[in-house]
Amino acid sequence: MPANASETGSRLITLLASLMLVLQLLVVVQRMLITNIRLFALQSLLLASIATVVAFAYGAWHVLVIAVLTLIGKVLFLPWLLERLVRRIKIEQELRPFVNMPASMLICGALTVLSYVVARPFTALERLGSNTLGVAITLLLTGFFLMINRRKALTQVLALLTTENGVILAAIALTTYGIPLIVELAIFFDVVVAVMVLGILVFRIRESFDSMDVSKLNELKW
Amino acid sequence: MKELALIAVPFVAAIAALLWPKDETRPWLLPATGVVHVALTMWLLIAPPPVEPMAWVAFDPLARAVLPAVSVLFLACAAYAVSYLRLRSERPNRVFVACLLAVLGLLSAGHQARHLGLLWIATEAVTLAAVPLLHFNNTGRAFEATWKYLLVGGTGIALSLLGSFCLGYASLHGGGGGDLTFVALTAQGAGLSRPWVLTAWVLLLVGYGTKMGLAPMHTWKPDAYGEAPGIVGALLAGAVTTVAFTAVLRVRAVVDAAGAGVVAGRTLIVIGLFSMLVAALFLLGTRDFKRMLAYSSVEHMGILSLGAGLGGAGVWAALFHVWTNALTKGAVFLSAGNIRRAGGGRTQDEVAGMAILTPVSARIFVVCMLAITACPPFGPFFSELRILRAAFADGQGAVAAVFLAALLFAFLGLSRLVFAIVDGRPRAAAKKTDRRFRETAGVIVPPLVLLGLSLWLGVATPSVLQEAWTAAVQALFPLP
Repeated sequence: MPANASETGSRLITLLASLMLVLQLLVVVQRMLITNIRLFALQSLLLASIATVVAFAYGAWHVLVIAVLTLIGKVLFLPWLLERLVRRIKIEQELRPFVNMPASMLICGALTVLSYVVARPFTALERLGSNTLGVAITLLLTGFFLMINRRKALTQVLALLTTENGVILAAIALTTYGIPLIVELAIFFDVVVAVMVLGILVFRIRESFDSMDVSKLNELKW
Repeated sequence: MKELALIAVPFVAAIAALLWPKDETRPWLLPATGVVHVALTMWLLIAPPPVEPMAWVAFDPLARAVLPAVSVLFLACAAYAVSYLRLRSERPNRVFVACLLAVLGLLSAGHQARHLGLLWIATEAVTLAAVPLLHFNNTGRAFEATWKYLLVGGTGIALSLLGSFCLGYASLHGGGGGDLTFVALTAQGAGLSRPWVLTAWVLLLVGYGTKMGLAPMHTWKPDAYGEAPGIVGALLAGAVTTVAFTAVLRVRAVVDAAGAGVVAGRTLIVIGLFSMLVAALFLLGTRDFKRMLAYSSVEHMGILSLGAGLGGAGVWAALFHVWTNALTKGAVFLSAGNIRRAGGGRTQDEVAGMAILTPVSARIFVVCMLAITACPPFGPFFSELRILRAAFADGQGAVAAVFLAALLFAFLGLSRLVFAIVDGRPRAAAKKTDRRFRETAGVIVPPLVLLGLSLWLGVATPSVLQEAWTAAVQALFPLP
């Protein structure tokens, strides 16, 4: 593999990963549910592009499978399904998070800094620009924050999916070092989460809970 | 070949269950598979097969030390399930039976997995296969429990996957090939990159700890155990948690070989004691006896984690405790299921006087309560005594003191609630509910047999099991 191809690839990946991070922060401050779903689709598209770039730049062709799966599953199918669900059951469009927007933004900023601090000792030898792992950990942590902060069942699903994007990003970043089987595991993970999400939706959320408000899923205590 | 049959037989039976035409006869597939599975594991326990070092799936010493317990528990639950599903004939059982069998197959795969990735796949597939089991009752509360289970479980899945990646990278960074078999990772030992190993340890412990239900990752557990049928609770508490525990043990062996064993041991002790204390406090407060069992399970997972943190003798005791916990938990969940069915409620406000309504189940329930709170001469007493001895031998007096305090609180909490349910006069509501419920042999014998086995393990631990546990400890932590 030519050295400058992987050099360009590395820069491109850093750029795309940073864009994923920006989109994640937009998700944190975005109030409308539909926009949230679209932002997630866009973020997944970036993930698919990173996978494609890795596949070409490092000749790791099996990573293309992740790119294709992400494109079909998380850019097209799941957002379509979620949007249809939102429209059909006419749930309230505006989200009311527990922590208000400026405070969430600050918390997520702090989480980003924390992730970079955590990733620092490990990135010295990284091939993929030192950013990717930091971004992956940020996606993971802010995904957890979103999961805690949002009331709607659907937005928790979205948060779980962005968390998953973070893990897959880490998987792609590590693949370039040639750990065998990582891609296969990541693919399996993709499938598991997709099944879980579909399972949640198939459980006829509507029939059981009209509002899909998780703060009303609180009958079980003690 | 027998080790692969352990995985294949349940899957074939699961497919058969999906194709089986009649709801009435389908549950018989469960005990049939259970008998075959127990026969195979017992054969392998007594005559362990040679283990090919690089094999991904093998009946290795650790699988030999734990998997037969899962198998026995499954057989008892399967026998109970035949009567249970007859009582619940209003619900279709096709998916339920198939998923139970799939869970058994995946558990066999998880216990025998010698590859980090394969282990992860098996454990997470168990999570998915258990979802229809939790949702069997199809109520709003069951849905809420399933929702929490999926969301918390999904987070655990993500973290353990990231941990697996980190362990692979630790190998690569240290100059290895990134081979994720436990044999290769352990062989690389101190060559593994230390910061990556520690990151991997934290992520894997949190990820698999979520599956075990260690505090503070236990939040799905009370809901899931509270809403699921008794057999599902028994299998989750006694079998599914053990596969996560063996995962933690296998990863710990790698971390030990990498020279970070002290850190790993300390985290296991802290998280174990924390789980025990949290569970004990909730046990003192809860009024719902099915959620009580969940907190008790959190407590026992804490005991396992504590044992695993205390070095060789502690791991031996923890393997012993896996057995006693599986058998006793099985008995207590099944008898609690009977009481729930006959009493028509789950809290001490709704249910009382069960000694009059269901005399046999109530007696079994009380004896089980004594057994899981470590009263002699039942199995848990002896396994917990071993853990206590390991703590003292390790010079950890403070740990032993916290351990005993948590056990005492748990005993107070459990006995308070159990006697509130068993004693007194039956509530008027209970007379109206479920008149079909009778204490037939089908719902009495399985918990009784499990309780008897727990007693037998306590007073006369079979030497073949002791030898299996010793072999497992030696295989995990070879003496330097």
